[in-house]
Amino acid sequence: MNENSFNQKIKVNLDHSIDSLDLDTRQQLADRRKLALNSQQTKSNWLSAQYWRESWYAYRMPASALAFCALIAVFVVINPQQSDHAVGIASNNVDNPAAVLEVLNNAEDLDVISDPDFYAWAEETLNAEKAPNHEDSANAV
Amino acid sequence: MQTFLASIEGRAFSMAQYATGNREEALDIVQDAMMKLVQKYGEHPAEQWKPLFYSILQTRILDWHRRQSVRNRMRSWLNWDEDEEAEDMLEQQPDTPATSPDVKLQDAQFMQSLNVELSALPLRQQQVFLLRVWEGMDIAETAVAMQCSESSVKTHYARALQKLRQQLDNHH
Repeated sequence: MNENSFNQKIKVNLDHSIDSLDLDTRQQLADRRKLALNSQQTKSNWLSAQYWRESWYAYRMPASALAFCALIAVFVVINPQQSDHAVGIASNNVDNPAAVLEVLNNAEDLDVISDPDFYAWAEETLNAEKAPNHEDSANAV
Repeated sequence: MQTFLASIEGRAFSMAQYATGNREEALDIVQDAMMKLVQKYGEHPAEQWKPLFYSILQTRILDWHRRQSVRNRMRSWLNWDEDEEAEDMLEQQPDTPATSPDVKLQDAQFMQSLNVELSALPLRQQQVFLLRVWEGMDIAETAVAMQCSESSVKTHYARALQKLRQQLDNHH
């Protein structure tokens, strides 16, 4: 028997074995096929515009509104902290760790810090800024 | 898609059963393959479904074998009794036509031996042989489905054919 005849014989026998599958197995296969095809329908429903339109009004819109409110609340809570941080830096408060970190992270600023002329300039500037305040307080007294 | 799946599910089930030796596992594997085909490739042209389906099926079968080998290793560490499992596997082998009235005219002995020999083939040889001979896929299609080279397909097929012919020669 040559290769083709041998293969043909095997094919015929295998086909017969499919024809003789028991009823329960056939039913199981049919059920599972339906399940697979239904999964496609669920997926295509999920992708359709109508599904989103309907579900939007049902529960997605209130959920989105809630999420939006939560976002606003987070902004309200966070913003004062950000302003404090900005004020801390602007007022040359060296005790503010954020300001120190910012200076340390900036290589250019580090060069300035290591320059002795910078401290001389800073002292002069600070004294110049303080001087009018002293005069004001002296006048007030 | 409905027609395609109905036409292919019997052969897919038998292939999975030859590979796993377990009816329920074979049914689950076929269902997984059908679901993935429908969900991921349902929109693809119909002529692509067959190689895609068999590619998914073969991957699922390989995954099952990997899980089984891990499970078997665990069992051997824990010294679980494997005799019962072996008996179950034998019971789960596909029914032979000898037990079915529809195929009494067929060569029952040949079919019985074929079942045994197909189940005994190494997995890749078994898959290649069934795809080529039963499903009628050419070498290129089989290579796509098996995710291997065409030369591997040729090698697996030649070895499978040689073994089957050696074992089934006396039934010719």
